This record gives sequence, C-alpha cells and structure tokens, in this order.
Amino acid sequence: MILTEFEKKRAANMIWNAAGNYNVSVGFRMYDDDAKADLYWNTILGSSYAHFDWKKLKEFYNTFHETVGQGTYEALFWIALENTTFEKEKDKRPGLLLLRTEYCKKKLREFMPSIAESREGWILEGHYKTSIGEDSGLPDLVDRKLLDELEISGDVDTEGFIKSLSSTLAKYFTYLPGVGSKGQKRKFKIPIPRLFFGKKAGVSSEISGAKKLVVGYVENQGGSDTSAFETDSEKFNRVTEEGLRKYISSYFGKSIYDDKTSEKIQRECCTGNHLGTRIFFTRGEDEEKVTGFAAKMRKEMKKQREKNEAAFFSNMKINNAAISELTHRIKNALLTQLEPTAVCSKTGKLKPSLVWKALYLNNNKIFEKQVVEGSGNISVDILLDASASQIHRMDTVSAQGYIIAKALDNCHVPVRVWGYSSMNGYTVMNLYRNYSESSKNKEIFRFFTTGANRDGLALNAILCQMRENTATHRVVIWLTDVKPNDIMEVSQKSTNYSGDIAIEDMTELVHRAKLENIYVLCAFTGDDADIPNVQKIFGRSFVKVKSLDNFASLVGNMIQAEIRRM
Amino acid sequence: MEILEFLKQENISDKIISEIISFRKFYKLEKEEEQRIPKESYLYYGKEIWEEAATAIIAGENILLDGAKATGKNVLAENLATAFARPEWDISLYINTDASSLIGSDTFENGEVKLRKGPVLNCAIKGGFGVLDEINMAKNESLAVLHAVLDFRRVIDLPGYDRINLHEATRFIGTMNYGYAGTREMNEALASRFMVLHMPVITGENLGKLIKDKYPTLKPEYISQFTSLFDEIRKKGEGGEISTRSLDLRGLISCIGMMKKGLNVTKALEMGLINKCFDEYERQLVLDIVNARLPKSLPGENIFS
Repeated sequence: MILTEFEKKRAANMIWNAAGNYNVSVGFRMYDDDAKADLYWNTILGSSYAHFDWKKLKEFYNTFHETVGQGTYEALFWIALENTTFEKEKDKRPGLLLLRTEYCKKKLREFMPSIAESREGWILEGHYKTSIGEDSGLPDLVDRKLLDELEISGDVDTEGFIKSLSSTLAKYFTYLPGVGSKGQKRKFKIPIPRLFFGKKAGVSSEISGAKKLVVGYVENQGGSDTSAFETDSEKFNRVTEEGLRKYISSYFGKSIYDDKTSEKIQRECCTGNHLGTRIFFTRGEDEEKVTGFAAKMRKEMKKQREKNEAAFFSNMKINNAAISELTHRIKNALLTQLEPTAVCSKTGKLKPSLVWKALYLNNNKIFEKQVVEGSGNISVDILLDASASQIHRMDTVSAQGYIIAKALDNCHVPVRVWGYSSMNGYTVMNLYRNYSESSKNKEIFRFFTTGANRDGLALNAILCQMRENTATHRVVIWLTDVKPNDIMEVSQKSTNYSGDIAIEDMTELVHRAKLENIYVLCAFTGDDADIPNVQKIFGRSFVKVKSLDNFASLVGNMIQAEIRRM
Repeated sequence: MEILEFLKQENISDKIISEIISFRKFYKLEKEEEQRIPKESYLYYGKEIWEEAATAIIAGENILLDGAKATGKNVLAENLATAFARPEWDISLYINTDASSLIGSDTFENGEVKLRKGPVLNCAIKGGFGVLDEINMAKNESLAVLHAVLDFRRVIDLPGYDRINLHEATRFIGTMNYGYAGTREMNEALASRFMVLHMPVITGENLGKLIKDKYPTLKPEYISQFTSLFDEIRKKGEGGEISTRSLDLRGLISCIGMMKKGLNVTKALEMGLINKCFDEYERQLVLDIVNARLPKSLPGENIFS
C-alpha cells in the first residue's frame, strides 16, 4: 500500500493541531493498516509536544540506542508516553477517550500471538486492556507491577517522566539511569526483534515508506528535533553539507536570503517527494573568493552572458519589432477587457434620444450606465528550465525571455523571471528580475544551463514565493520539456526523481497551485511522445513550442487568453 | 439586553457611556428612521476596541476597522449604530463600485428626471451611520467622491443639483481585510480621513462570553470546547494549511443552535463549519480537528443543562 501525500499532510496536521503549534518539526507520524493517518496516535504525539520538552525526551530515548534491551525500552517508552499524555489531555478533549477506546479495541482484535510471546508484548496487551477499563489479564504479579509503574500519571513534567521511566527500567531491566547509550549494556550484532515492529527486522513493510509497529505504521520524518540523535557520521555529513552549500553559492552566486530565512524556505518547500533535497535562491552575484571548478564555471557563465547579449543585439530590429508586436497584443487584450460598456438603465446619464420611450412606451430605461468589466490585476511569473537539456538554445531562450519581460513592462503588467536547474541535491532558483525591476531585464541574458531538473521542487519554490503576491490573477508560464530528472532520490521511495513519480508530483503541484488561485500554463518544448504526460499535468493549459523563435508570440497568446478569462 | 446595559457590564468607562447617552438625547430621530437602527443580534466583546471606537465617534471622526475574517468588524459597526441609536446604511463595495452607485444618479419618475439618491447621500441627509463594507475592494478613483464627505468639509456636491451639508450625526465606518483576495492597497488620501482600528482576533474568553450570551444553558465545559475548536481552526488557517472558509463565527453559533434542537454535535459542525470547505482535503483536516476534540456520537441535547 502506498502512503499518499494527502495522508502524510493529514498526519502532520493532526500533530500540529494537537501541539497547538505549526512550527513544530514533526519527527514521527503514525498511520493505520490502511495507510490512513491515525487520528488517535497523531493527536497523542502532537499533545506530547505541547506538554513535554521533546529535545530532552529524544536525548533520553537515544540512550536506548544499540543497548541490549533497545526494543523493549523503546516499546515501554511509548506505552508510558501514551498513557501520561492521554491523562494530561483527556479532560481538555472529551473525544479522546472514545478515540482511545476504539483504538485499543481494534488493536486487541488484531493482536498477533507472535507479539504476545515477548514480555513487552503481553505488557502492551495488558495496557490496551486497562485502557478500556478491563483487567490487564497479566498472570505474573511482577508484570502487573511493571505495567502499573509504566502507566505514569498526568501530573509529571519532562524531568519527572524521564526520572520515573528510568527508575522503572532500572528496577525491572538492566537499564542504567543517567548513563548514555555507550555506557549501557550493549547488544551483540544479532538483531533483536523490536516489539513495536509487527514483523521481524529486515522484512519489508506493507506500506511503502513507513515501518510497521504494533501501534500502527510509523514514518520517521527526521525534523530539526532529531539533532539530539546526531551520530558522528551524521555530524561529518553536516560538515560536508556546509561545504556543499559553499560550493553551490560559489558556482551559482550568493544566496538571496540569510541562513535563517533560507532554512525557513527550505522547510516550506522541500517537503513530500523533495524531502532531503535543498533549495537555493540566487541572483547570480559573485561570492568573494571563488576557486577551482566553480571559478571556471563562473567564467563560462560570464562568457555565455556576453554571447546571449550579442546574439540579441545582432538581431535588434527583429527583436524590437517582436517586443512592439507583443506589447500591442497584450495592451489590446487589456484594453478590450477593461473597456467600459454602455448599457441602458433606469438610472445614470440621461440619453435625450430615448426620452420618448418613457413617455409613450412606459419604458424607463432611458439612461446610460457605464459598466466596467475589468476585474482585478494580473501578475506573471516566467519559469525557465535551465537544465543541460537546453544547452544548445541558451541565446534563443534568453532573447525570448527578454522580449516577453519587456513587452509586459510596457503594459505595466508585473513580471518576474526565473531559471532553475538542479545539482548535487540542490535545486537552484536563479532570479533574473523581480516584479518591479523593469530596469533589470538585461539580467535575463545571464541564462545559463547546467545540471538536471527537479521540476516539482522548482514549481513548489515558486508557489511559496507567490503566496506573498496579492494580485487577483497570478499566472506562471513555465518553459519546460516535461522530462523531470534528478539523481537525488525521492524521499522514502529509493528511486530517482524521474518518470511516473515525478509526473505524479508535478500533477499534484499544478493542482495545488490551482487551488491557491495560481494558474500554471506550460510552454512545452519536449517531444510529442510526452504529450499525454503534459495533458495529465496541465490539462489544456499548455502550448507546444515548435520553435523557440516564436516562444514570445505563444506566450502572448497565453496571456491574452488569461486576460479574457479575468 | 439593552446595549447600554451591555456596555456597563463590559466595564466601558462611565464617561464614554454618558457621552453616548448625551449623543442619543441631542440627535433626535424621525419615526420612520427608527426602523433602520439595527437590533443587536450579536454583541461585540472587547473593552478596549469599544472604548476607542466610541470615543472616535463621539469626537466626530469616521473610523476604519481593519482585521482578518471573524474578528467582528461588522458586528462592531452594527453595535455602534445601535449604541448611538442612529439609522444604519450598509454599503457593500466591490470592484465596479462607482460614484453614482454611492451618491446617486438620475432616474425617471412621473414623467420627469429626478435624482435617485444613493446610500451615501441618504445616510448623509438623515444623520445615519454608513458602513462602507470591504472598502478596499473598490477602486480608489471611485472612492475619491467620498473625500469631501469624509473630511472636514462634510459636504456632497451633486453636479446639476444642490450642495448638501452632512447631518451633524453622520459617521462613516469602513471595514477592510488587508491583503484578502481581490483587495487593493488603500491610498493615503482616503486612509487619512479615517481613524484606524486594528481589530484583534476574538479572544477565547470573549468568544466564550459571546456563546454564553447566545446560549445561556450550554454547559461551561462545552463552551470551552467550542472556543478551543475555533482557535484550532484559526491556527490551521494561519499556518497556511487550510483556507479561512471554515473559520466562520456565525456558522459556529448557528451550529450550536442546531445542537440545541437535538442534532448530533459532529453533524451540526459538519453543516456549519466543515462543509464550508469545498475542497476535500481541507474538509478532512477540519473534520480531524473536530474528531480529535469531540466524541463522534455526542447528541446535541447532552451539551445543554
């Protein structure tokens, strides 16, 4: 069964809602056997964020890592956390008791005998029974006491919880309170089946992208709170991560945003299929010291800019004519749209030639009223695929981009132009000009192609940026060959970002844009064989660009159509 | 409850209340205008905003209420007209609003061309409170006609007709939701003619009062459930997860009304809040909020004492 993006978002929303905080970085999300977000467990998880310091809890949880009792400790940790959180929350949420009862009854019906063969298994079974008001049914008095101590009341804080659970684990197992995982009794290399896993370790789970636990399926999303778990190798990765970011900024130019804003944008954009990848916004400004391959590429970019500019100005007359024609067409469409229509009305400006109608025909519609049909303003974002597939047409794409931007400027339509490509896990968004920067059209000549294209992430990044744009009609015109391709794997799916997964991703994003009242129109530069994919993603909102020389003209058609739709 | 009683209960300063009473006494009303005084169906809770708005009105100012959805802009505007006992004109502005739809235009009656008065003109003559709803939806050029009405001149110059001075008791109350879809920037010339109040989001305590006022027999524990539920929907909207469609205060109040008639709590909330999200995804998220808080099978009558 596949975990859909919808259920992932739903699970995250349940947690955020219960936590009362939408900035919580969700570490775990829980799902039921049908790959649906589990309302009870996600509410408990979210509530635990509101009541406990999760950084400390995770540090404590980390002390179980690779210890001899890891599976047992982890299982008992969740039982204790569930119980104490429920106790804290039950009066605030009258519905929670019903959800817990339904959940426990369901779990008891499904309880597998193999799980009940382990000690933690029957403790869990006992906990489910006590949760619905029955006797735990545990035959051993020691186990009854253990369960009783695990069911921590709702009046503890984080320290109290850790202290209570540590001493219980120490009393009944070999756990050493206050000692890190390295100081605990370590396990051998033979894997110990973990209680919360319904299947033995190593057996693939039934829901792709999530592990099966007895409580349901869990998807570990990482999240910033996982820093408490950082291992030496992860720290090393982080160092290289910083190095990689420096390389990207040396190669493509300084980031537009400071580190904090970049991190925030990263969290907003790199979600779902793009989790684990990075997004980088630049205007192509040089970093102070650039050496090695990046320096070589910077030189190449500058050379290409000169070539692009030279190519445009060598065809100055033709290009100016194209700007003028496009300006005329867009202006005309805008004027037609905004032209007030005169209608006969019972009030308004008197039309003497019609007065007789009132006197002899009893028709009082002898006044003229001007009805303005315009409805709001329009903004256009142009998104250019700058991956290596466009390498032979850099000068053409940049010239056409310039023509469109200039024509829209002439009509006072705010326009923003972007190029994007992906490299080493980064998708780089190159901003050539912003809405109000009519003097920066020449920056479009910086268009330079390299790397792969993670189209979905580029669109997602644009959508995030457009949320601040309050225009009534927001349009994205996207020049793409609809061949998404990035070697960075899709989160949890062990496959590259290409083919069906990437097409599905683009479809979902275009649909989401529509829900946000952003219209994404495609200027398709690929092969006819890919048209079914294009139709799937964009419906009828695309045009096939047979020759890039008429790209500007086709964009003109699209904008005209959009203005008529206004 | 009489609105002045309510103001006393809300600890509004005695001085302001006595000024309101003097205002009422001083500006008498014609019999036929009394029916235009709104009957308060909802009350605005919020001492500070009440005091600021009432003071501005007493001082002869027009006020602009700026705030997000469900902050009570229109409720306050209506309550002010009730408190000051003035007839109210609701003037909804939209993109094609023009001068003639506000002031008036020619029409034909009994064989002659006459002026058909618009709501602003009527309000100005009768000394009413004109509520310019969603003022930033209209184009600034269309509203330029109001400049002389709203500033110290307090006149309406009708081309081809008279120059009309505003009745002394006339006030205009603009409402707007800045940055909302379809709205535009308000120009400085217009904004400078108003005293601006930023309407805060209704607090849990005030929402609780509002619900209690409307349904006195609702059990206190469920008043707090509904205020928390409303707060959770608001947070989800602010978090950008859903639109503000389900953030509907009127809807919530109506839901409780249906619960009182015996409808299941979740069913009522579905009709009044959840189904207002027409997008399946949003609807599921709001339903999750409700289910995480209230038992699915809770009968409506159980929540009333």
